[in-house]
Amino acid sequence: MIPPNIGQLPPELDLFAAIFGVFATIFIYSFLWKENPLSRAVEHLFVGLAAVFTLAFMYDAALSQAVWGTNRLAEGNFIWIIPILLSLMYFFFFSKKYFFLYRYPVSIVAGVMAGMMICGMIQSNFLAQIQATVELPLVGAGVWEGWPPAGLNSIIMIIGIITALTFFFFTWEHTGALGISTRIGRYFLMATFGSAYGGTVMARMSLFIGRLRFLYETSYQDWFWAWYLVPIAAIIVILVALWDRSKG
Amino acid sequence: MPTEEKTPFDRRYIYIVLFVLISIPLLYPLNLPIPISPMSQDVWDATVALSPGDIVVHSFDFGPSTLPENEPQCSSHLFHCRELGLRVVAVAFWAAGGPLAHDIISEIYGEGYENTAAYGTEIVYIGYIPGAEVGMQTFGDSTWDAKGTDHYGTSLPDLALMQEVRSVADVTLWAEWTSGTPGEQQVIQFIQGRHQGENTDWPLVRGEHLLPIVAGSTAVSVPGMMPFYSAGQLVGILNGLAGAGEYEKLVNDVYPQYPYEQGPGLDAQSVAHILVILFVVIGNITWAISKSGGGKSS
Amino acid sequence: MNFINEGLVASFAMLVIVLAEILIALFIARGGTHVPKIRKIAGLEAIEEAVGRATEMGRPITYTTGLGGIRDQYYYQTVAGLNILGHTAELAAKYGAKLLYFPYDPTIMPMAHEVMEQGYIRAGKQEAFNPENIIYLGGDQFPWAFGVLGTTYREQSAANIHMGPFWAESLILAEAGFYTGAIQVMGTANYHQIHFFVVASDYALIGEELMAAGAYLSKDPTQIGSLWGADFSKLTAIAIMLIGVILTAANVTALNDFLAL
Repeated sequence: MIPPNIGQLPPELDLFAAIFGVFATIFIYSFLWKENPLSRAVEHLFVGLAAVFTLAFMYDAALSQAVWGTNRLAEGNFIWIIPILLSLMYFFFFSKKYFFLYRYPVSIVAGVMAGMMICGMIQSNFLAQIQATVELPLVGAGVWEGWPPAGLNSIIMIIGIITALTFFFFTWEHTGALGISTRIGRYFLMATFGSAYGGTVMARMSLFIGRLRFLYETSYQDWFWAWYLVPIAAIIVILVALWDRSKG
Repeated sequence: MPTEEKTPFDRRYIYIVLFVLISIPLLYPLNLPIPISPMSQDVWDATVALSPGDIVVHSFDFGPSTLPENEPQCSSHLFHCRELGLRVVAVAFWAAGGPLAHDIISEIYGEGYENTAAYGTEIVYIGYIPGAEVGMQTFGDSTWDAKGTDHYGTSLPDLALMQEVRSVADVTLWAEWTSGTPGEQQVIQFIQGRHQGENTDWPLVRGEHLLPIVAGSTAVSVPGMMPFYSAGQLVGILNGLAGAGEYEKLVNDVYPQYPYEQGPGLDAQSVAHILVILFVVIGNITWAISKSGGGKSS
Repeated sequence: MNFINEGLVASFAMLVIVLAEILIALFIARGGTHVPKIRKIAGLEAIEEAVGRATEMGRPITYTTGLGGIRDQYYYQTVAGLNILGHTAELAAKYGAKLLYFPYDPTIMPMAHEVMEQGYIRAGKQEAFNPENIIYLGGDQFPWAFGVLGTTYREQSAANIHMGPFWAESLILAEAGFYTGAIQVMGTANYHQIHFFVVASDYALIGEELMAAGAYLSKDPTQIGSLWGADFSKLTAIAIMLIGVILTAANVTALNDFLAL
């Protein structure tokens, strides 16, 4: 079983983790300058670690659900044998003769997800959104007061929702009134994408700022090591890039 | 490399300018004012409206890659919940969130909190629940069935708090910290929509009692959350690092012992945004000039 | 036992209406009484151009279906992506281009294997199919994206096709194509990522256009019929909203009361 505090390193490894963190950060960022052997090495390490992490957690989660964590089988809860057997059927993919058997678990999982999703979506994404649109304030006290008035916002939202929906009509030609509506819908979609783009820029910058704060602010026994390690890592990157170039 | 063909100048200069300009406020904070957005204020209001002893679920659905945004959000809110005397049931529907949540809870409730008297009465950490949406739905229907034991191997029925939390109907507020799927949309679909009206203490939204959900997310996902916020399905949102900084400031104003940390980060973000706006403007002007130039020559 | 779940009655009614619309349209189209035309989707037309260009340049095509698997809620986008993968594989086999596919979720690997092989079989070149061109890079978002970025760069892909559910890694993938100067065709229904695709790619499939791909490419009347039915369900939603807005403004709450049932 995976220990509960797996995310925490023993204190004696703090310095190692710090040095490794700085070097990995700089090596990965060096890709922005040029693809080089160091960025490639960290990339492969990253991919390998992620594969192991996923494998270990999925294995642990699956078995602790069914076998050791809760002792469901030992408690006589034999219904768990069905999902375990179904999941084992995935492995028939590697058999030439019984190849087709792997399709059963795939179909069941896809079917269950389709059912669950339709139930969830029809209520939360479809009906609740229709309800919220229907109840947008258009008349009443205070709706057209102040700037921008709530009523104006409502009208913009209603037009936006309806015209954007018409953009996704596939089996009717986008001509005439429908053509005008889809064109307006397209502008609404583009405005939405623009605002989403702004949000994403913010997120990306946050991640970059987070990394920089890691470099600038993390200390080990009052020693701000990043200040010394970053130039060393940068020099290593430059040397390796030059070496890589001389190799042709 | 085709990069040179497509842009008028080498993009690598942009990286350097960005790196240098973001570093300045991190090293020498500008202390710019932080206005509180209505979405963050709503998270605060929904939390202070609860009574001591009410049960809050904290769902840690993110991985290490978005830690800079998600961690300050959930840490400050978790701290706030603890100070208000709310009882917390923590879960993770992301495998990577499992160990991260243990670390974050340990920071707020103290190292080794799982061995204290408070564990099992004021806080429970169930750990990673596999199955994504299916796991979430099962947890909403029946908490004990989603996972037999907590993160530390104790059977859920043996924990006093879990005796009171048998399904989501016993929960007063759901705090969703997410950076993708499963996240807030799945809680809305598989828990909130499914259990509407089951607890009359929940606020009324369009004639139905809906489980109040507050969410903190990376800024990427927030535009996608807005329809749910305006429809009342989400009560409040902490928007990325900015939302985290705002909530930390709100907490810090009332509880000065809480370290308020995002100031320099938000300064850096403001600088970065100004820079990005400038780049967009310059890029468009350059594009317009090159386009009109191209028109003449042809 | 109580069979009626209060608060979900209107949802059930809506589900019945939508299903009925889709089924009726599907049967009409399958029966051949009326098979509607699908409007042009530029992004799908562009795939052949992308494959052709990669063939001319003698460089590979990078293909991903995003972070989806079959065990999550976004599987419908993944399936749409796999549909287009089959079409792309057929084109790649026909022209003799190398197609690299990077699955994210291990559970879709067998399906992708089958879909690609079928594509090669349809083009009459089964022997050209190489399972090693399906490259698994681990099931974690950023390592996967960084792996795709690195491999695309090293292989110098000339076409970059991404169809499926994408999250924060979308721009990294677009960046990969930009580095190699590839023609980029991308599509997703995750609205918080579409903007990147619109900005960074040569052709973008927006939202439901991705799901329409199956019908568009196969010209199968059953699939076209279901798309037609889905159009009717959108029309129904518009009608309910319009009527509801007018009634609410006139202070008539009958529709609101029904929707809250």
